[in-house]
Amino acid sequence: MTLTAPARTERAPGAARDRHKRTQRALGKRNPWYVSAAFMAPVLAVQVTFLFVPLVNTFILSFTDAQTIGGGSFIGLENFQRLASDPLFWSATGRSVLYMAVVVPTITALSVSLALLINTGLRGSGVVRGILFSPLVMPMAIVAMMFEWFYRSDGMINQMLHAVHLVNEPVRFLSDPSIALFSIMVVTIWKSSGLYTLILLAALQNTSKELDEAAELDGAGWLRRTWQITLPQVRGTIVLVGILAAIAAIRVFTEPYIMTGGGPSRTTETIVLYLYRNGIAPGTDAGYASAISLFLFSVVVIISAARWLATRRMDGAR
Amino acid sequence: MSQLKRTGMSVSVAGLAALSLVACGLGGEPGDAATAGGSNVDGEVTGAITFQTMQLSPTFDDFINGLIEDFEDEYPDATVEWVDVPSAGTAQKIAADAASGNLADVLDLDVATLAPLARDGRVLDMAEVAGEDEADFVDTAWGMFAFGDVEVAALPWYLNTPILMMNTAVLDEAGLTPEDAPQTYREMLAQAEVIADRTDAAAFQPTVRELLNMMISYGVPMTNEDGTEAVVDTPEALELVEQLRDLYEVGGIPADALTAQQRSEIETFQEGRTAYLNTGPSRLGIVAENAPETYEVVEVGEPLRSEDAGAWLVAHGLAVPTTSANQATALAFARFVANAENQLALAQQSSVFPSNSGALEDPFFAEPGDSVEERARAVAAESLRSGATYDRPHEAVDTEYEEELWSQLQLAIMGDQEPAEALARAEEALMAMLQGRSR
Repeated sequence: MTLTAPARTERAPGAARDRHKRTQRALGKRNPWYVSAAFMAPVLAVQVTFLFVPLVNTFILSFTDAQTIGGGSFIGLENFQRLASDPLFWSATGRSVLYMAVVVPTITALSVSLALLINTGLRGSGVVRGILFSPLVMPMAIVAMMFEWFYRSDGMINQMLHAVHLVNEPVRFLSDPSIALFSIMVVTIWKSSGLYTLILLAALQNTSKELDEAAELDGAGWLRRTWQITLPQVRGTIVLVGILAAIAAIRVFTEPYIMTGGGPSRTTETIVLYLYRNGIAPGTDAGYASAISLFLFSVVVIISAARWLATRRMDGAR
Repeated sequence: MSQLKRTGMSVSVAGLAALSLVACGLGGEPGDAATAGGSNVDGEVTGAITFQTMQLSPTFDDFINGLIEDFEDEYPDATVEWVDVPSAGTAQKIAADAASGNLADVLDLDVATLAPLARDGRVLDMAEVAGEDEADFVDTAWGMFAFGDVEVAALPWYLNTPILMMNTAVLDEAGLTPEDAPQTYREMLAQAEVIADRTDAAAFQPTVRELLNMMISYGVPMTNEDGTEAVVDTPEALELVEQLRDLYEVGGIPADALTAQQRSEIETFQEGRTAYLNTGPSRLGIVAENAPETYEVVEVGEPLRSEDAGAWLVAHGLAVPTTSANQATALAFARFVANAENQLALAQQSSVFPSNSGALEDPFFAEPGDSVEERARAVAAESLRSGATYDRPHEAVDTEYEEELWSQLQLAIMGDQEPAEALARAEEALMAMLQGRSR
């Protein structure tokens, strides 16, 4: 026994490797490399054309003084030096970070709460589900215009506030520099929460009912079961929702573009809007705009890497 | 396939990709024109060309196709392919086409979209290749396509210049009549206080473009003579911004105007929330369609003018890129489209105005008629005929300049910043913009 057991354990991996090699050879005979390449080609072509090429092109342009119509010459790191000392760029970055800092926790908390609520299967939750998901089908441009109407000095929100005597003068939701950015954040939260609720709801419906029932039998209340049994099972999805919301928030454009155009006096100008104004319209400085794009790309990569690390850590902890 | 072969292939593919990317990123150097032969307009009018317009289809399909047929009849060896692009996407298409060297042979563009091409010397200078046509065009229209070394970057095509729309119901409520209508921006601001005091409406809605017009009207030079330095921090500008701030405070300007989208001023007017709208006559059709009740009480009058410069003018021109392989045919087609007969035909089926002085003399523009549209047409045409229009104080004062100025002064107009401080900051920001361009 003591002599044969180690021999078996030594042979076992070798046998598995042999089997694996045989399988690979058999697959290789049936599917030469160009078959898999042919399957991948369409996706690769799309990725290369619409992702890789523009990305490398942007990288090259960021080292030039090119205009949107082309031309330009190599200017080394000048665009990045300008970026580092451009107060308007850093103000826009600060606003985008603030946007992310407010929107991401709010969306995550709201989406988790709504998903839990819908998942309880209370009467009327079907109706609530329909209402919640309706913003998903509306284009952001339409939503932004709709909210612009709500926010007007004679719009619905001001009329309601006035009717309940909360304000005497209309609140300048979009033109008061101290609240305009927050007014726009509400639109992002309203529009995005439905999608994230849907993602979380799908995760909640895959949680273990047995664990929940066992905890209930042990006398745990709904709140405790939710906090200690249900939510830990969807932690990965919550992190995913947070990361997706963060990436979307740092890239926010449509809402401020439509609702305020970045005003008043740039107080709602985010990084992407700043990039647009410099490199697309009315500005034509493609080189500088490309440098801003690269900065933004780096931020998104860092956020994605953070997600990847967080997921790995959670997987490791299990 | 060996590892070495695979690595070699990957490196080759990456190298080729990088080369092609460098080409696409930095393509379309201004020097391309010279290598393509620069201006070469003396050849035969033959061969195929492409004509690109800005959002004229489908409304003007018959007109443009008719123009092309007529041209091809006159020059049987030439063919014209027509491409129409939505206005919103034109700047992006022009940029992409210019970078890849695929610009159409004849381009219908507004001044702002044409500017990057013209500043970079990528279009034929019409003063050189069609200078003899100058006398045919309205002076201001011919002059507004000047960009740097290019004296006239496009043959002027269709124009627009404002009339003053008045909501007589609001004026009535304020105890005013159309005869009291302001003639200048200064008069408008003075009257705005009265209207705000006596009605729930505002007098007008300031916009990006109108702020610039007001500043010019008040005598703010905007730039130094050669356009290298911004000049907006002047006592006249301070007077204007303080007046606007005071008006905003008393409701003489709509509360949401400062952050409203461009072109929202027409909605405000349609809703009866402003008494005046200084705009192109084509907007009458929009008011008639969207707000028939307001349209019923609309009267039109002389546009707001700057004391010494007249009313604003916007223009579309026909440019021929230096990269065109068939410049002779392209130029012949541009001149054909811009001749008096064809400009008149376009104006008669639209609400734009011809840039050709001969076409403006047609009775269609000269006789006021009974309807408000006819009266508006006559007023605008008279501004063009009499030369009471202006473009920009300097080519440097473009859309980007206007928007930066607007952005810098918004808080001051709303009373959230001192006007003097805002103007100083505006001048600093505009100066940095102009210096950035000259780098």
